[in-house]
Parts: sequence; structure tokens; C-alpha cells
Amino acid sequence: MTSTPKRLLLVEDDAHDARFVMRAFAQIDKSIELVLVTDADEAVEQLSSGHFDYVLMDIKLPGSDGIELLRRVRKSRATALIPIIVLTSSINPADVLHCYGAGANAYAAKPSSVIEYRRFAEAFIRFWVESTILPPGMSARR
Amino acid sequence: MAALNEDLVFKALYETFPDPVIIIDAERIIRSANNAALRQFGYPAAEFIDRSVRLIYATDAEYAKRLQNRAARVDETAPRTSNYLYIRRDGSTFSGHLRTTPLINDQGEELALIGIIRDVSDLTEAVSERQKASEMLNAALEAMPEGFAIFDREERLVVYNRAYQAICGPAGPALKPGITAEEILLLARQGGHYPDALPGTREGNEWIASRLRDFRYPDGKPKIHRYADDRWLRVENIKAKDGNTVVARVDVTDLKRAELALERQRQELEHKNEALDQFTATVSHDLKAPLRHISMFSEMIEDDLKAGNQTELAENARHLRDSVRRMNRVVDSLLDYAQIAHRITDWTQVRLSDVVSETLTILAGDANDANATFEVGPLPELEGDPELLRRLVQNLVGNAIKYRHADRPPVIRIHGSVLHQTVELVVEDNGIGIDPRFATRIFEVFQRLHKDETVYGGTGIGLSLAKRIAESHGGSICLDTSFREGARFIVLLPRWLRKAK
Repeated sequence: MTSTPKRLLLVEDDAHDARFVMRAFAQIDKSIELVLVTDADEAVEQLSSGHFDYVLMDIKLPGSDGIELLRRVRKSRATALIPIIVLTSSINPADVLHCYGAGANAYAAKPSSVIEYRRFAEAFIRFWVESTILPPGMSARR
Repeated sequence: MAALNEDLVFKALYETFPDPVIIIDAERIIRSANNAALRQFGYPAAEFIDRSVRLIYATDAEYAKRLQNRAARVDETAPRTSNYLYIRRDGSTFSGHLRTTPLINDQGEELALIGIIRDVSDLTEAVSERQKASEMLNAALEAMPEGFAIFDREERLVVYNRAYQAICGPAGPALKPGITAEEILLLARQGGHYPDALPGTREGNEWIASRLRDFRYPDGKPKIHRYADDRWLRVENIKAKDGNTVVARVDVTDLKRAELALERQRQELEHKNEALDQFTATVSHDLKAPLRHISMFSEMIEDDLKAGNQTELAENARHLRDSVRRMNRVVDSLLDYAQIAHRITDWTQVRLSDVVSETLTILAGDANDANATFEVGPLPELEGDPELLRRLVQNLVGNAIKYRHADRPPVIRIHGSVLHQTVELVVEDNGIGIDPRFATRIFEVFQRLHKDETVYGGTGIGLSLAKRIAESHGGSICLDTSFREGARFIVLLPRWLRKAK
């Protein structure tokens, strides 16, 4: 476990879903700091004003949608390499490909039980936080 | 060998000569005729000799022609000038080529005229058949709708039909044998005949060059080219064995138009399929979300019960109920949307002013709460379904009230006009407005621009419903992105509906 808390930007317009994610992370690891935004414009604003280690986002967002947000984040030099994990309700293969095509690093379907949410949070920490292998170009900020 | 009696020889020759020979005197009386002549004309010698030669000519006119020709000493080697129509004893006629030789005495006086008449009726018939065939071909060429022409080795025009002349457009009047293919192309281009080769354009030069290339070295494949007045022609150049080039032009405009229409329909269908995909994706998302929440909250309630956490229990129970309600609303909206048939069968005359006043009565409560004022302008009449049109207007006006600006009471203007048999209905407000980026997305099913359902309630079906109603009337709806004061929606509807099939 790392000493300095990791900052995770959660982009989720559904208040319930956002609550489930925050609850699961809170139960698993207190060292993750979650910032919630509810649309793409807000997400871009947050990313440009503060440092984040990861983005966890839905692709179905009000107004400008998630795919567009993915592209905007990848276009910006500061966030071109930030790990982006898509968490959405669609398991349509076309949507999945679309997300990867637009620059997502991982894709997961929204769970429908408390235990699954917890597992998702656990897996997230294991894979993205504790793993020492960082995407090329990312410096290990510890 | 005995001395040869020349008289006997000539007599034998005369009698056995296969062509009819007739000798006439200066008075044009038949003095002698060989066996072939008697056979040909069908007379016994007694009835033939000593008669005027007029006897063998079919008509007075034929005889007169013969006399004229004799006076004019026409060239008898040419059948054209010395063919006459002769008549046999039985009245049947035949065409004969007459060649004459005068018999002249030592003093140079003409004693008689020897005439050899060769029956050329077979030949004449063949010539006339050929003439007929050629005329038939020409007539057919003229009658056929396809443009047809032949160019020689030097690319000079030899033959062409009327259709080809018409197809050459501005170059048509200049057509004459001898004009070259390139000259025709350039003349037609100068006259603006080729939309793909307008005068003075570089692409035009290339286009002309490629046309010429295809004329000079045809690859055997017909090409389809665009001509003036939105016409399409199939152009086929064929190198004939004799080195000539045969060109055929067929007007395929109807075919091409049908092809273009088909392509348009295909694209429309593709678009509809995409819309359907999008629709099902969105619907499943919006139905799955509350289902997932119900599952989550029921689980959490279980946990709360185990832990004895009363406050959270109550809260989660409320969320559960909300999710069920939300799902209910989504299903209702979907049913609403599905119920609007793509084609309405029951049309009536609808007064839009009635539709609007009815809508305002229904929305009176909301309007009052929002302190909204309405400015209703003149509204036309049209054919349509009054109930559906009312829902369309209600959705637009309802949105105008709902998405009002916090700082000012809503002012909603509704007015209409008629232009070229199209009714325009405008609903505009001074509310929060819509980002022009989302001008098309707002009409998709369950697309919401505002995340907080508690502030701006609704499932996101209103505008897609409005769009579907407008389209079911053969019309359209759009957001006027140039309007910045608030939101302005423009609905275009045909004034009279084409009867449904």
C-alpha cells in the first residue's frame, strides 16, 4: 500500500451509481481520494486544475458524452497518459471497442450487487494502485 | 481445210448468240431479230419482223426516253443511262440494258442499227433491293432513340442519326460529315453541355482528354457521363474492323435517377437502422439502470436490517421506491413513444390555434407556478392528427416552462406561418437555452442534457416524441441554433398531406 493517497476522478451522472462506487472504495481502501463530477465539462475542468492518478468514468453522460470526453482527455498533453477506466452499464461489444478506440485503458460493466462492487474496487486497487507496472511514460509518483 | 465461209460463221454466231439482238433500219422498223430476241420477246418471226421497234418498249414514256437518249448519244456502257423497260408479247415486262452499234456503208451513211438487249431484271431487282435495304436502315437509324454515328480512321464524322445530333447539344447544328470527334467535344463543351467539363476549368480539360482517350482507344466498356439538364448518357465507342469507330449514345437518365433514388433509400434505411440500434441501446440502458439500483438497494436494506441501521434502512427503502417509480416512468414513456404510428391514417383539418389554446389550458397549472407568460401569434390551419399535434406542442411548451431561467420569469412565444405549402410552427422561450453542440442529440430517445432529475424532471422522451410526431406528419423539427435568448424550436409540417398509401 502506498503512503500518499491516490486521487481518482469519478465521472458519473447517476447519483445512485456514484454512491455505490464511493461506498465500495471507502470500504476497501481509505487511501484513495475520490472526486465526483457529473458531466464531461466538469471532468475536463477538474483534470486541468488538479492532479489525478486515474479516471473512472461512465460513457453515457448528459450533454457531451463519454466517448467525446475520452478523446478530449487524450488530446490534452497533461492527461494523454492517465489511466482511464470505463465503468458503464453497456456490455455491447461495439461500445467496448469504441471506448478502447477513443483511448480507454480498461472497461468494466456496472455491477448489480454490493459484493460485486466491492470486488470491482478491490481489483481496481490491486491492478492500478499496487501494481508497480505503470503505463509507459508514467512516472511513479510515490 | 475448206475455205471458211464468213457469212455462215456470222449467221451461226447471230443465231446462237445468247443475248437478244435486233436490227432496225433508219425508219426504226425491225428488220431482223435473232432466236434469242424472238425467245425473249415471245414473238414468232412473222409477227416481229417489219414492226416498229416501239413494239418492244413497255410504255410511250420508255420509248420517248430511248429516242431522247439516242439523240443525245448517251454513254451506253453505263446501265444507269441506257436501261429500258421492255415488254413481251404476253404483256410481261423486263428491264434490259441496251447497247447499239450502227451499220455504216462506205459512204458513211447509217444503214441500220444493231441493238443488243441484255435482260438485267435480276440485277435491277438486286440494286433496288439494296436501295430499299439502305433506305430501311437509314429510316431505322433515324427512328432509333439511341444516338449513333460512325467516324473514319481520321476521326472524321461519316454517318450520324438525328438522336446523335440531339445528344451533341450545342455542337448538334455544326455536325456535318468531316467534322472530327475532338471538334464536336470542344464545341459541346464550349456550349456548356458537360457539367463535368465547364469551359475554362482544368478538371474540364482532363475530362475532355479522358473522353478523347476512350474514343481513340476504347476499352470495350460503356461509360456513363453527365450531360447538361441533369441527363445521364451511356457512351460506348467501338473500334470496327475496318478502322472506323462506331459510337453509340444511350440516354440512361431514368435508370441513373432510379439508381440514385435507390442509393438514397439505402442510406435512409441505414440511417433508420442506426437510429434503431441507438434506440435499443438507450432503452436497455435506461431500463437496466433502475433494475440494477433496485437490486443494489434491496441488498443494502438486507445489510441494514442485519446491522440494525435504522436511518440508512429508511433511506435505502426510499431509494428503492424511487428506482421502481423511475422504471415505471421509463416504461410509460416508451409505450407513449411506441404508440405513435409512423403513418397516420385518420387526417382531419386542424386549426393550430385550437391546438395551442388547448395545450395552454392543460399546462395552466405549471405555467402559473412558473409565472409564465405566453405570446401567441397568428397560427395557420393544416391537415393532421389533432391529438398528436397537441402532444407535440405540449412537449415544446412544457419544456419551455421547465427549462426556464432562474433569474427571469419565462416568456414563451408561439407563432406560425405558411410558405410554399409548408406550415412553420415556432416555439421560443427566454430560458436556459440549449448548447448548439447538442442540437441533434436532444431529439434522441432518453437523451438528457441535465443530470439532475430532481431539478428538471422527465425521462428524456419529450423531444424524441415531438420529432416522431413531426416525422409521422411528413415534417421535421429542429433547434434554431442561431437563437441565443433561450431555446427556439422550429417545426415544419406539410400543409396538405399526401394520402397514405
